[in-house]
Amino acid sequence: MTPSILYIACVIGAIGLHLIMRPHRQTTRIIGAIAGAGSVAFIMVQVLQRLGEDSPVPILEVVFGLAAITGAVRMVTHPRPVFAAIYFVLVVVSSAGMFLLLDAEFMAFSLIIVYAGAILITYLFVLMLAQDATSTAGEALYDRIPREPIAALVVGFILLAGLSDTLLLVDGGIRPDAPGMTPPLAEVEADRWLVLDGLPRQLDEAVASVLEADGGQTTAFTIERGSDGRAIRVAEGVARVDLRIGDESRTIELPTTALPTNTQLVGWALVAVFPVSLEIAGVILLMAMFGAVVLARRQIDMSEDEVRVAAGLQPLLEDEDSEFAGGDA
Amino acid sequence: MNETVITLTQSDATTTMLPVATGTIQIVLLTSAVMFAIGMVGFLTRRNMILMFLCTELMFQASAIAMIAFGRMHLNPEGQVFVIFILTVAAAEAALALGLVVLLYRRKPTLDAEAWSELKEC
Repeated sequence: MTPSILYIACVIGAIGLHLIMRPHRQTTRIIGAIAGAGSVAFIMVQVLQRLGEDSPVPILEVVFGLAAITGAVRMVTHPRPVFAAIYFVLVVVSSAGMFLLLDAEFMAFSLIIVYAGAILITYLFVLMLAQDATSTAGEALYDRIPREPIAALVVGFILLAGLSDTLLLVDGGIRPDAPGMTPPLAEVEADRWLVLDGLPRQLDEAVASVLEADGGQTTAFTIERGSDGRAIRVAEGVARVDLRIGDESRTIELPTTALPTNTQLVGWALVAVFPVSLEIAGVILLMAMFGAVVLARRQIDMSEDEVRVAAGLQPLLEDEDSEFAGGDA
Repeated sequence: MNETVITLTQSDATTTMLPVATGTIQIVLLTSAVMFAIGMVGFLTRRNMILMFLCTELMFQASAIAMIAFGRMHLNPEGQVFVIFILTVAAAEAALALGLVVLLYRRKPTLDAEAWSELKEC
């Protein structure tokens, strides 16, 4: 794949998106959808072709990627806002699937909970709250006609051409198997043993399970820490722990199944590597809460029944009941 | 003193320690680039204020995917930690932006962003 082919595919994708975006006839939109999907699929096929014969074909990644891109396109082009929000759920779910494929289980599920569960529901509430009650069709004119589509598409697809060129073509693209891209595995493993060293209870459990598998007693052991305070010594890819059981000194090897899981690594990085950022994130959320309270605190100088009348409902109180309604009446 | 060394049968290194496949990373990064571009186009072309904010969420999502992919490639959990911060900022932004939109909607009963174009002062 040469850069010019990539740029041509980007231009075709932009034209396709433009055809979908304008309120054209159905056939024009279908042609646009075919052009856009074709260009994305073409780039993906080009990427897959370069991989070589023996490398595995990332089928699920392609499926989730196409689903996410479809959802994104429909979200940007759908004339009804509520449907656009629901297509965003499709984007969120497919990206959660990609997170799972990238061994980020915790982030996948928290993405679904926070985005699809919390943020999207807020958006839907506000969309329904602000829906124009007078228009029966549900498609406001401003939702159907895009603003400055040509300029936006030029900017967006120049960005896309630059990004995909950098990601896929410059220096052979992003390749994990290129030298220097991935750290040596021994180093990574040593780092992860270091994390386990910081989790005393889990280290105890790992040692106990090793002793149990050995058939020995698991009653009382103390882990002897070295002069640097570390219990796990990693040498030649093997993690060893010094124990004292009664008067007896033992050295055991920890199996790689005792390594911390992905989620534990994320938690460790969050608490031990970025504690200040975590605090700042908390402050940001607190300030957002204050801001939302201040924004929402505007007084409405109408009685309850006046609000009902303004909303087109029958007032609840009859005229002779009005002495019960307000305080001073 | 009795020195014994116990060795369990070593299982294969957990799969998360293995380098990620090139195809996976390239497809995922391509998806994230396309999603970011579409989100930007949507932000510029949509007139509905709420959907403009939804398009920024799409861009957040794309950058989160790129973070996770690069974190996986470098075998480093810190990419995921950054995604947690992205989620924080997205949640805060959604709360404030929607509060603002509701306030604006009370003043002029339309969601069209053009209605507020005098804020540009040009």
